Amino acid sequence: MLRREITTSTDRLFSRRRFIYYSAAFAAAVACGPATPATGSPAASPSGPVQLKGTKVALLHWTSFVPDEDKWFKETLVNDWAKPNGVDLSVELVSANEAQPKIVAALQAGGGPDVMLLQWTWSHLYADKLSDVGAVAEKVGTDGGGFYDAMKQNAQVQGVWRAVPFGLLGNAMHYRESLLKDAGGSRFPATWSDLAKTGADVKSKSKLFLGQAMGHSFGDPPTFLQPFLWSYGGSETDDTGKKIAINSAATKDALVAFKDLFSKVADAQCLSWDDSSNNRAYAAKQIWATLNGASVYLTAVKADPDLAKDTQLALLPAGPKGQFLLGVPFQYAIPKYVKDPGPARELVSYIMSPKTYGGFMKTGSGYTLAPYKKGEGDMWPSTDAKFEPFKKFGTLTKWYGYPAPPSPAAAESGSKYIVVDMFAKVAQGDTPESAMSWAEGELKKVYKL
Amino acid sequence: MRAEARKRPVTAGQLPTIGEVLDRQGVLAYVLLLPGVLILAAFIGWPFITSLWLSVTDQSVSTSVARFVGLDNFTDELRSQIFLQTVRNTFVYTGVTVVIKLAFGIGLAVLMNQSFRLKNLARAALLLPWIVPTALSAIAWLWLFDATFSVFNWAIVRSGLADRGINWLGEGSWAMTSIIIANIWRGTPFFAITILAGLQTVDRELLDAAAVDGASRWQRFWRITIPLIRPVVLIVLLFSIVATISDFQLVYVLTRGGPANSTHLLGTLAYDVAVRAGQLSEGAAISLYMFPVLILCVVALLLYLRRSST
Repeated sequence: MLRREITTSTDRLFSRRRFIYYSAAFAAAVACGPATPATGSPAASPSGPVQLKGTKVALLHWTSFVPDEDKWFKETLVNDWAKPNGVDLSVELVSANEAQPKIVAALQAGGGPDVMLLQWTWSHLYADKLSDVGAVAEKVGTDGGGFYDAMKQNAQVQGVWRAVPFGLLGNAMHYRESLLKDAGGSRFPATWSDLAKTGADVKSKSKLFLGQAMGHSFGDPPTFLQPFLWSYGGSETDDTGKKIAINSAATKDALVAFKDLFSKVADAQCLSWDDSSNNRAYAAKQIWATLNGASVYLTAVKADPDLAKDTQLALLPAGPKGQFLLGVPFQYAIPKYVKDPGPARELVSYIMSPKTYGGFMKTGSGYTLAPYKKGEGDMWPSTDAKFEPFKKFGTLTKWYGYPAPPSPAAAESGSKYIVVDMFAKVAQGDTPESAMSWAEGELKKVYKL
Repeated sequence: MRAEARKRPVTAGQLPTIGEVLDRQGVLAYVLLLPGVLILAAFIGWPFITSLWLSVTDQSVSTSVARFVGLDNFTDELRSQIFLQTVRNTFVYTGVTVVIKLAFGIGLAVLMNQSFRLKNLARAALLLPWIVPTALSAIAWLWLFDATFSVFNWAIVRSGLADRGINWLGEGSWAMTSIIIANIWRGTPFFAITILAGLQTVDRELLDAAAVDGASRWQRFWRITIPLIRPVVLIVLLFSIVATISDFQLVYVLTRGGPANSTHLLGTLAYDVAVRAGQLSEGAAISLYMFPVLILCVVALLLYLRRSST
């Protein structure tokens, strides 16, 4: 058998033994890491001012449905705060539905953004892993004339501020006034039963339906269905949060009413809709009304002035137990893994100061509502009378888990879309009893009751 | 000089050099295997062991210290209607898609095994659905099934087949049908190309001899071709069952498990529970429910393969 001799320099260089030597050396070099010393951010003095120059701050934010708001974070915030202070600020924007996976991964891994924008009652879900931001929250609240109760409930966990309220997406019914008038209506119905009648008339006359998203999506489905349930007296639990109360006569009334409403005014395709489906359908004039943030209207103002002119906004109708609203609340949290939270706190304080926030609200034309009361006063950014329904949104909005205080279980139930699916089941043909019983079983598991 | 040094005799009490150790084939084989084993251990073994551990604890995103809870997470799931529905969905989805992909795959492979013009181009094009990233093709399907803008519905209504389009993703059974259609579209090329490779190994002389003996085309296919390509078909089946039962992207993009959980698969439910709801241990338990099923499939198919090859 012929054996090949290693004779040339190239052969020697690439002999298998040398290959292993080099691989081992390379692996060792990688394992040892760079030779340059780590440059940590300057430590903040507990008593003195925070040193910002030369620090890095990573902000995880949601991608707004109003692009100007994103631009404000990417450009205005960087130019007005980061650059003058010598801070290397990175802003990462992710869609609302994709934010939670990123946040969970960062919290579990113990590394990631320095400031993260939470939704709903997530502060309660992740409380153990979030810093106490009481000092910042208290000052922001005071400067802003006081936080709305719901915003405070969402951000405060057992008396400790685990996040600083950032803002609220108010959802209002957007509807085509001309189509409503054609069907004999003069103003948007004030009760669900009126909506069932008027909506059926509009649908019959215009052949367009009320397009309500009911899929697994963060905003529109729960902000329609949770208030619907509350307005009939139904709720997940009693007001202590210690007893599952979904299987009740009130919930049954809500489900019966919803089945009637859905069959008369909506369309089965809504069951697959997410937060953007209704925006597209409204812009394409495929539906006559939908519950949404002001982005539907603001988009029409730019892209289709005629549609914008014909669009009116109204708050959700009331049920037998009154009118209820649910906005999408956002809060800024600073994870405990952030070693030097000083610059992150400074960033949150800066954004949330009424002066800065007022500029942000103007940029977004009032799409995101302030979490504090000054927002509906001097800071109100819009001169458009159509925005008036949003003014009292902060006062009227509730939270996940209402009437009980927010809790990790309520947050988990929201993330699992249990109430949304209970209504979806009825819309698909299930009996109210069966849907309630299903929801009760799932809620017992979530609340561990 | 070095070659001479390598050949020096090892005397008692003298340790062999690294070079001498590596010259032993047995040692060298393990050294060369080591990086691969380490990568598998780090990226598959460790996550798997972690998920095993998570599934028997009460770890959630909100808890810093996890407690051992035994099999509680597994038994709790059996009380959940969503989980039971998800198991049913997963079996329906996997069963229907794998059977149809197999039938279509064999059909396409037989077709592609014929001689015709632009044969190579057709074979390359056949692979496109499988090559395109799933998330990307799923978005295309999302538009095709979109309730308002579906091109299918446009065609149905315009052609007069129905007054209104199909509620593809908004009605439970249609939503399941939709994800099955998308999965079949994506997975059939894998079957077709692999079976085509098997078909090309079939000896033409056998088929010609059978034809001379009077066997019909169908008899030749069923009695000669199929038995000869059976090992390939079984391997493809195995891969497809594993990939389909643990599918995630297609369903996540198209329906997110909705409407009302009617399209949740074990993968998407585990993700929702672990990542969205923060219940890491519960999510791990859900995903591990797939494991025994997959193991059974793998063992059964491999045993069958082994028996038929002997």
